[in-house]
Amino acid sequence: MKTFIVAALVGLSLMLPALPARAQDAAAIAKGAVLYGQTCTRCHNLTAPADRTDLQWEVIGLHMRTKANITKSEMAAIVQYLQVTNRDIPAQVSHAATSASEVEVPRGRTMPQSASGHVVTIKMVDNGSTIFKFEPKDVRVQRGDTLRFEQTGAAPHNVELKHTPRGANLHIAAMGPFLLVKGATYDIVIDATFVDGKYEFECTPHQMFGMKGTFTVTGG
Amino acid sequence: MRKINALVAAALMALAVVPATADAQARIPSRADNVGMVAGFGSVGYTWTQSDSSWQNAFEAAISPIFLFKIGDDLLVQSELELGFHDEGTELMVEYAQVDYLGFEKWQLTAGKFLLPFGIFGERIHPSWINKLPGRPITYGEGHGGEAGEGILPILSDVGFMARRTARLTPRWALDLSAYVTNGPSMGMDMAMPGAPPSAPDVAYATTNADINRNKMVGGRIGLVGVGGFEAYLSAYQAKYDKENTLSVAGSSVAFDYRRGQFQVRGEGMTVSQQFDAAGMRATLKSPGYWLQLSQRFGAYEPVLQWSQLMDAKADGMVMKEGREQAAVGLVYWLATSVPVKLAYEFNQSTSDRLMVQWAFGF
Repeated sequence: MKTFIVAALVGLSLMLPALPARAQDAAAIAKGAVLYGQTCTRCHNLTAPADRTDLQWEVIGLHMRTKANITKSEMAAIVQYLQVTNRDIPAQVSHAATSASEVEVPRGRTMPQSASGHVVTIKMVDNGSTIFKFEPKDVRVQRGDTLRFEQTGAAPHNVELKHTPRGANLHIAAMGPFLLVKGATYDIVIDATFVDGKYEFECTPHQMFGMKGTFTVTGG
Repeated sequence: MRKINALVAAALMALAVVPATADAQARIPSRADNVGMVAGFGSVGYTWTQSDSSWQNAFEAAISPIFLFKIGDDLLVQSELELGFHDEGTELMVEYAQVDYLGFEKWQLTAGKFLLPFGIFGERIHPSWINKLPGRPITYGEGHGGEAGEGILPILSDVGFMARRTARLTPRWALDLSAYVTNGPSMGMDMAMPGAPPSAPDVAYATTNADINRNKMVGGRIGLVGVGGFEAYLSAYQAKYDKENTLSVAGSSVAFDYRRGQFQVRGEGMTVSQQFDAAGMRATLKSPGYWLQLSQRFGAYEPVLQWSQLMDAKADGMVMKEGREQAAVGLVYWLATSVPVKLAYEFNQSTSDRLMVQWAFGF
């Protein structure tokens, strides 16, 4: 019986969709996202990661390296980012990651259960090609509120804090995780480390499309 | 000069060999590692060309398949073809056909026919799904059907060898370095009428696997690339273009590109100096020109303004060819990230104005 259960568990595990080895590659993927935004827009618009298969991205990566003249490791990071974010990850995986993280880059302090105030939701919106934005792009929150970023688009998005008021001593990562599927969320609890003032954020790969926003913290 | 060219060629070969021997781990890939795909771009359009008091109009179409073959992890064989349709019929051009070795961290080695890294337009912006206007700056000739004008240079490509390197100076700035040696240009057909005043012969940049002389074209580009959206390039080349190995042609270019948010400004200034003999005297014809482009994106819409000018081409102070100007105003609607629909009006001094609609697609 025991043998049967073990065999069944092994069999079930083999049937689960293979997920990328995320933790160890997180830094490279985050670097790839940044490089993708910085390098590829030197000549043209960004292409949606899902436009190509993993193998095609490998070939396109070599081709683009001959145009952009970047290092081998830089292009490898871009290709890795594109391969990870072009995956069709099952919906239940995304919903399980309630406070972020399809790609385990250093995470923000995401403790929705400790928040006592309201949940303020900002949607990550895109049409996959030309429109990339946060909606609403400017919000006001009070200390104790939870700021929730919700993925509603097709392209991978994240939240990168670009400017914080003087005196802010945040314990969250400047660059949040990439949300890959619709419904995935990333929560930032506005705790005591957030001083009053305006915080500017953007989506790392889509900031050049104007995907930027602000949240203003006031005393709660 | 021949010795210098030989030295430069030897240096480039040495650059290729030294890291290659250092990379003892390099392996010969099996065919099982090969991956091939076809990418590319194409366009269809309609151009109205002003002719006296009326307009002539015509459909246009072009397609440029790019064949990419990844061999193992570090070799890429790539070729771009351009299929165009002109008055003379179907035209097939090989834009590039090259082998790239990409096994080094910072170096790239290229052999074959490749786009020369001269300025930024020819190597990077000319594909119709990237170029924000249906036409080209007049420094490169108007091109794309309609009334083709003569620029200072064609989009340069040639057969030879190239080494490229990137070097990071600081976390925000990197150097983009390229050096190449190629077969080089030749003297074009002498179209001067008997009794006409002396003029410089055409320089033919048509690429072949032959070299008309023992001199090779040598050139390079130095670029400064910033994370913040600014990049600037200095480019130059030099070659002899006659069979006797006595007449030189040299080009130089300064180019920049600056992006901030949805705004972009970029441009390029260039000069081509060409030696020629007239009435027993050696003269040098200098042909300068520039183009400047501004664009600002609003969602899916992107208005574009472009100025380009060919200044008077002079030989020892005497005007040999009058300059001309072009202004273009356009609007791009991005149907998708690689599918622009462009509407543009070109104001051409001394040639006809053009109204153009173009649908381009990268695939």
